Order: sequence, then structure tokens, then C-alpha cells
Amino acid sequence: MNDEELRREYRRSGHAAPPGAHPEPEQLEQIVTGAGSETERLALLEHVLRCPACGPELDLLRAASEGARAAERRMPATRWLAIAAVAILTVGIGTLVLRGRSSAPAADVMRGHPQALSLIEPEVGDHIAAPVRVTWHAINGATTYRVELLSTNGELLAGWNTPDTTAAIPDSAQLAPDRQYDVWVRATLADRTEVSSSIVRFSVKQ
Amino acid sequence: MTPPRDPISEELESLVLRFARFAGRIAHDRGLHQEDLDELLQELRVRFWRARKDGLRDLSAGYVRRTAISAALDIIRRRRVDRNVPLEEDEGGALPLTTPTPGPAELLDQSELAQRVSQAVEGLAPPRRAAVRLYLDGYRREEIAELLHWSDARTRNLLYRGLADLRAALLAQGIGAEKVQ
Repeated sequence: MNDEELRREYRRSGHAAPPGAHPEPEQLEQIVTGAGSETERLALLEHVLRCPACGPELDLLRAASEGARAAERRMPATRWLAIAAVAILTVGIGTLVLRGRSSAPAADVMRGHPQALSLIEPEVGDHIAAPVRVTWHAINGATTYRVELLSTNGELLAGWNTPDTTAAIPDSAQLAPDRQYDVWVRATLADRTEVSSSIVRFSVKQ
Repeated sequence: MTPPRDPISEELESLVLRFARFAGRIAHDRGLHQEDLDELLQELRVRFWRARKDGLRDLSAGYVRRTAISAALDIIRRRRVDRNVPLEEDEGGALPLTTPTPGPAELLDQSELAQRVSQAVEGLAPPRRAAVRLYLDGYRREEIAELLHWSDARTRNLLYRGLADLRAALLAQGIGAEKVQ
């Protein structure tokens, strides 16, 4: 039997609640955080993976843990760091935009910057006419960029890869007038690590 | 370029959105309902804004993760209470957060082959069994490594050995003989 056949039969076998007590919520947390012994966690998992009540609870905890881990990759540690980061980013982008507009050749944009991936357009709060173009500063060593259009609750509406540093949001995304959207860009580097931009919220003119 | 009017607000909202984006991916892959995710996001917003009101001094990376997990735990506790399910129940009859429990008719429909696969999985050694259960349940290998807190090499080793054990156990029952490599 190949993997798919095994999966199909395993799922068809159903997941009736196993005998024994449901783990406490804190024990589910143990599985996610890795606290306690492996033997203990494997025993907990043995119940959870067969239990139709506990399985989704573990998934919710995983979503919380992984969401936080991803979110905190670009999070400043303190209020002052947050202010400093935004200020530096703002001044930096402003300087680069001005430099780019005045004298630098287009190739300078492609040269990129080692860490920060910042959008040039749209800007936060922009109310712009379609077609919406997304443009960002290049990252050194980037092999590809992924642009993602999100709803304001984080749902992925459209995403595409490009080797370029600019892209128009395709008509297939069907941007609705006066509705808010979020967009961000992720760069994949040669060592397969990712650098992400901040999420920029904008809306579309009628 | 016009600077954001309120850098902290922008940063907090951006944080919640990044959270939503990644948590949403897991929720989608695992079939969680959007309402569950929405409730989690709302809890987080409230807690982050309270932290902001207190000056954000503790909003470190670790704080975000602790807050997110704490919010999820509170949702789980509330759901259990709402269903009047004792936290220590002997029969394991709690209603699921989102996934429906198979009914008697569905259970009767389970094929003998499916039952044998299930029994063969139960016969695996615990570490291999956990990896195989997760894999057959649709988790990707990197997710299995993350959840079991194993290295990629260990995950690959135990998963593949577990799948080999599973196939061998089924083969011993004459199942999959013509397809086993």
C-alpha cells in the first residue's frame, strides 16, 4: 500500500474517543511547548491523536504557538525599540526613495539591502486606484520574492512569486472598491531563509 | 513619505495580522473553523492592547507566545465548561471543538481493511507510532518534527521505520502484498 492508500484507510478507521481521561488543557500545552518528558508527551499524544475532542484543541494551541512564533520574528522587544524601529525604517525608506528619485540608476534598487525588506508602494493607509502596484527594495541574496494579498483578518486572497522587485496585483484578485486589504512581501534567500516586510494596509478607490 | 500617525498602534496591528496569517495557515490545514481563529485573534487584540495601556514594557517575543498560548487555553477551558464536560472524564465523550465525532452509522461503515490498518498502527513502538499517526493524519514531516520536538533526521528516521513496520505488519496479514516494494 502506498502512503496515500494508508492515509485513506487510516482516516476511514475513524477516531472514536479513546478510553481514559481527556488531558487537562495545560497538558495539551506541554505537547506544544515540549515541557515534560518525551514519554509523557507521547502518551498524551496517543490520546489526543485518537480523540475527536482533543485533536482540534491541540490544533488551536498549535495555531496560537506557531502564529506567535511567526509574528514575533519582526517584533521589537520594547516600546522604545518599536518607536526606534519605525523611525529608522521611515527615515531609511524616505532617504532611499529620495535617493532613487534623484540620481541613482535603476540598478541600484536591485542591489538591495542585507536585512530589512521594506515596501516602497503602497504605503500604509494609501487609498489608491486599481491596478495596484506593489514595489519593494531588493534584498541581497534573494532568489525569489513572494507577494501576498490578504484580507484584513489575515486570510490569503492571492499570492504569487516573482524574481522582480515590483508587481501589479492581478485582476483575478478582484479588489473591491473601498475595501481594505493588506499586502506583504517575503524574500527567499539562497540559504532558504526568509525575510518578510511589514504588512501594509491599503484600500482601493472606486 | 508620511510617517505612521501612531507607530505603536501600527506595530501592534501589524503583529496581530502577522499572527493571523500564520495561525490561519495551520487552522486551514487542520480544518479548524474560522470562528475559532477569530475568537483567538480577538483575545489577542484585547490582551495586546491592555499591555499597550500598561506601557508595553513586557511585550517581548516570549510574551507574545505566552499570551497567544494563554488565550488559546482560555478558549479551550471556556468551551469545555460551556459543554458541561468535566475536565477529567472517564469515558472521553466530550464534544469536539470543531470536528464532528463519527456517528454509529459511520463507525459501522468502516471497512475491515481500515480497521486492520488502525490496529497495525496501534502495534507500533510508541515513538514510531506517534510519527506515523501524525503522518497518516496529514501532518507534514516538518510539522511532525516541530510537534514532537525532534530533529529532522530523527523524525525522518522514525517515520520511515514506522511506515516500514506498518507495511510489514500488514503484509504479515496478507495486506498489500502485491504493492509492497
